Amino acid sequence: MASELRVNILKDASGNNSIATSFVARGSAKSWAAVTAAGALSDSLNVSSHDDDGAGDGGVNFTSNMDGAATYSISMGVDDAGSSSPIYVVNLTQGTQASGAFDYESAYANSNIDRTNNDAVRFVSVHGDLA
Amino acid sequence: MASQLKVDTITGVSTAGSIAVTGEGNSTTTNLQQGLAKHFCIFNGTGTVAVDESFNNSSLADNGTGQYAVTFTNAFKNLHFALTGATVGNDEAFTYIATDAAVKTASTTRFRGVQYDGSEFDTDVVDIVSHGDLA
Repeated sequence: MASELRVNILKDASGNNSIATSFVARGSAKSWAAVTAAGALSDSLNVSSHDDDGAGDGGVNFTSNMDGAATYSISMGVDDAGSSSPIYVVNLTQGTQASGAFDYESAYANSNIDRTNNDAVRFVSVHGDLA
Repeated sequence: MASQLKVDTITGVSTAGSIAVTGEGNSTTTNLQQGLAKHFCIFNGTGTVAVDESFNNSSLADNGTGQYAVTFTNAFKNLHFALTGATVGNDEAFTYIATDAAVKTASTTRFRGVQYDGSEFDTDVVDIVSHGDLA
């Protein structure tokens, strides 16, 4: 049987730098992913699969669900390969955030502010409570 | 009295780098090591760049207007870590943080602050956070 430690507060050996285990559990990222431009997972935590739904359209499916549909935060980043002209963004797709998955879109806008969905290297991290 | 554990290093029994933490729903577990942010840096990106607060950050470099680089004290296992960031916008537009795989390694990464017209832009508050596996 795996050993199990039940404790409320962690401190260093000097008795300093205390942190409640609730902060450890609630503050840790529950999921993160690095996604290639081809829509494949480079590396991830708590991601069962990644959907490639077309140019710039992706979806993240969790192995272990979050505790609600809109109760967790998603941070996203993009690798624009050094582009110096368009504006790159990664947005959550409206209405898709669920306890077990969410969809997102990566896109760029050209000088005319025309939006074009675009496959780029993308990064996501998720904080919140597990179900 | 609440239980307290005083310790400097926590290590898994079966696998040193893997400790399960029970999630908020009291059943599912999450991996403690993998869930921790492995690096963050908050800095002033204008003028002479200066770190306000950081973790696992050995250096910050100013590589030109809107162009920065950080070097990690402890490297990631590879370049496939998730970097997200935020900036404060200027008065009329927005800015965002972008990495470039061509200048990203396990131990350092360059990134740029980009504004509405695609040009690099110095902002006075830049926040970046990285999640991934350490070497």
